[in-house]
Amino acid sequence: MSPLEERYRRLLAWLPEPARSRWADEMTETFLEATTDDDPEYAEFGSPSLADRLDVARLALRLRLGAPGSSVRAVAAGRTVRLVAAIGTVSLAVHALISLALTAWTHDVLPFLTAPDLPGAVSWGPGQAIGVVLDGLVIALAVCLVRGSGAARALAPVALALYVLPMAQPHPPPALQALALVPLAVVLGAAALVPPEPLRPRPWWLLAIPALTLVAATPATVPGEVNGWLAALADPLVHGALGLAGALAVLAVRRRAARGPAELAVAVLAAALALGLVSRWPWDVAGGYHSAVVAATLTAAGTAAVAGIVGQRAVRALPVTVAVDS
Amino acid sequence: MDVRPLTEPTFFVLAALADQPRHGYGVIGEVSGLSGGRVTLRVGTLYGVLDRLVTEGRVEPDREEVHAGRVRRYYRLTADGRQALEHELARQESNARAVRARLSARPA
Repeated sequence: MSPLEERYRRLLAWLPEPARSRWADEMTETFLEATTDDDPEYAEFGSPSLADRLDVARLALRLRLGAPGSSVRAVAAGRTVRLVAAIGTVSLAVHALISLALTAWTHDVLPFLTAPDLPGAVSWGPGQAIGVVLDGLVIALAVCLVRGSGAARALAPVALALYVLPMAQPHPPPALQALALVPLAVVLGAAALVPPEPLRPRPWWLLAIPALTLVAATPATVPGEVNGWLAALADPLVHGALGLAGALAVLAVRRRAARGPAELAVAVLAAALALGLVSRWPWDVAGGYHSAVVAATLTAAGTAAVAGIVGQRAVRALPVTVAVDS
Repeated sequence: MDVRPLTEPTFFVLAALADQPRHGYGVIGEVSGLSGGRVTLRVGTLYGVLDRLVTEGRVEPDREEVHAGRVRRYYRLTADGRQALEHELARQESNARAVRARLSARPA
């Protein structure tokens, strides 16, 4: 075996089984033929190019996320990532829609509603403009993802960059900023990995997200002194944690043939929310807020633990064979 | 049968196997020739496409040959693969005809 062949075989070890056993020998042969056809000496001193490494890494990732020809477990992993992306981006889009509506209202551009009487002038600058662009981008991302458009993979990293941009400030401390970013990074990272296929069956259950958001946010809009617990309930991370606990309860009582991906998606999202909620702990808001955030953190952590155990057990029980209909 | 439009790499891999069985490197060379050098398939992309086409029954192994001490596996198109390729060709020809007619129509 030449040094080059050895290097290609090491590279192909990235492929998951059963694809590795099926294709590694043949791919090595094709790589060697392609690289040493014009230059036989390359077999001694050559090594896989960066483009070859990226190409194999992309194939390995696709096969680990349930591309045709991958194992039943990889298909389950792919469904988990798809659910994390769908639930997360739809939640972000609902909040983006609310944010756009509030911006339009405060700037008096809604034809049927007069602007609220706020103390001082309503400001408009680059920060607000970026916010509006980001809201539009997130809504487009959710639509693309649910419809199965490949544009979602390109939009997700741009949205994450726009979320990170205003966070690069000296306060709060970098560790807290990093924790606040975890839920966004998990959701948008998943959206960047999802293959461009529509969600099947049609995910009508996603409509529960805007319903839950409206129910959670409404009490905080009632005029008068805002109660800390109600203010906390309007926080996307807090009602997200409660929503995931509810979703786990629904999954537990529903009779389903296949368990695993849905539970794991709830676990991933709940763990991300728990870390994000920790970044809220030092916030000094109306009485009761802090207690509500700590309670939501514990709820999210508990949900992540239970859903993670149930999901892991279900996925471990799956065979490592190739999925028949992937 | 799945009637979704084929991706460009899938279309060219099926086209490269239309006239005779070929092995991996042969397919890469044929795709480059068919596309006038515009499409250069990388090895990982080729085997990702082949893996899917074999799973879907559109391509199947033909034979194995030993070359310089290593085994080369050749692939051939199945009836399903030929049908998928013809369906895609008809779709592309129909699109091209419609757009050609639109281009040749003089503005009033």
